[in-house]
Amino acid sequence: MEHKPREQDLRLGKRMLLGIVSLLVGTAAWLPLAHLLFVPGNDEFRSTEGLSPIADKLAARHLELWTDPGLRRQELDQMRVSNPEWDYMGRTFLVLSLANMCLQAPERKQTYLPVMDLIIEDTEKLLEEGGNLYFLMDYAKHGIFVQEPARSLFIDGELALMIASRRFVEEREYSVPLGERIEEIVTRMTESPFMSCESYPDECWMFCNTVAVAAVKMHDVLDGADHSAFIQDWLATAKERLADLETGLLYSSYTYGGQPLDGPEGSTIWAAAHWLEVVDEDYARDQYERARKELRASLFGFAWAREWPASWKGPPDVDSGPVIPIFEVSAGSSGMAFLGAASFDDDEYYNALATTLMFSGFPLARDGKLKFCASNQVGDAVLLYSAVMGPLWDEVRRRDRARSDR
Amino acid sequence: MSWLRACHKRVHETKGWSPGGFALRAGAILVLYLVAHVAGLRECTSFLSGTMPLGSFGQYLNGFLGIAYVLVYIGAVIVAPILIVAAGVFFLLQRWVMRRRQEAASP
Repeated sequence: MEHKPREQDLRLGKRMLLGIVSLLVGTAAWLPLAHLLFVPGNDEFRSTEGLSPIADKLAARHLELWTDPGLRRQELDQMRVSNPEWDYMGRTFLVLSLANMCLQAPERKQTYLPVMDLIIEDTEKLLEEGGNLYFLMDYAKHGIFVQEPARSLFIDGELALMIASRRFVEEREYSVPLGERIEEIVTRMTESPFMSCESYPDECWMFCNTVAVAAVKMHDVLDGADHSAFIQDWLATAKERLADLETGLLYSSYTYGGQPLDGPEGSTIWAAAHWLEVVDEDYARDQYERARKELRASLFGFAWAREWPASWKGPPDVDSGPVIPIFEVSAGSSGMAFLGAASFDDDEYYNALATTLMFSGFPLARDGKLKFCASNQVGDAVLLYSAVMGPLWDEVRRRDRARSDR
Repeated sequence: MSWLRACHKRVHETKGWSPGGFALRAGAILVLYLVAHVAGLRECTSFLSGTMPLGSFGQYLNGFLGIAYVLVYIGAVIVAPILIVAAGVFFLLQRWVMRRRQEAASP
């Protein structure tokens, strides 16, 4: 009678050896394929043809937050515990997203413009009641602003950007006209030694200063003002005195006296390049390319961004988000990298970032609305903005060219 | 419920270092993930962005459940597929080894 061998006939040692070899083969086979589970379809995340399905659902979720006060309060309060700045930035990125969506399809104005106005008016009201500190982290209370009277460019710049964006969609007057805000910003930046204002006591942030310069440009286009000399001076100062010598990347923060605090950081530079795109496209693209070279990382079809270039090390903070060691994955930098990649039509990087997001962002779709569970309102607003950006900057440039031609 | 008893017996008898053992582990991970997902634990991953429910108990619970969800999720999308592929490879390797042994034993 023939003896049929069974798996039990193999000794444990041999089975373990076969098992380990099998696991190695399985790992080598699966890891390069795993990203295929998460690659977004063509135009699923960002579409040049119209609103992508993901952007549509993200926007629906944000509109729900701004039409349901209870839900909004809950969402924003949870975020404010960690960082009140996120509440403010979430508003900015949502207004910018809605402006882009309106310009892309004017029929959406009816739905989106009231939400944009609601956000801006609510923000102005909160600033009137609570002052700048309402949206700043606690440490702002414990220091003294060098420039007097004390103001935060974080607040002034983003509010100006929100109002200017709204006016690019359709004109409307606000309690303090855009021109007054911009003149104050320009005066204060011009008076400062490095053409930069503080966001926190003795802390100038490149993110906020580039936002302010973009807002100045938008105001010029909207109201026929001319701050081109100011913009040129700012650019010259930034290039010569506010950039890291090794990488050529702009510092993310520095003192009022121009002393670098943080070196180049991903959580700043991707967005700074995007804001500068509307001011000096060549310089902005140069910053993006440098950031891509220094900070982009990828493995097995997933891409992410590091917070610091190899030549600069800093501690993880509220901007970088948690940094995963070895791979140096920074949540803050990776989120902002979406802005850079979208801004400079880097589809390869954008799609690889989106693949990583679909894997590690824990998307949750329900009733036609989408949120990324590992993110929060500001994170989702940044992603939405990256998915719809383009029309607003195109409109600024179009009107700027028309203005120059006259 | 004889099928349940049969399943239990089969599971009990399956060796860890065997194709069946690998497949069983992959299945267990996928079932765990399914349970965590249906229970709505995906929302607890908000701890990754430092955004959690207000109140210290809520934060601890959210963090704990979030970490648990992340672990079973990684298990389901990375570990379980590796185990499934490995189970197939293990099965083929085992057959090959046993065939060689049988050939060596036959006169």
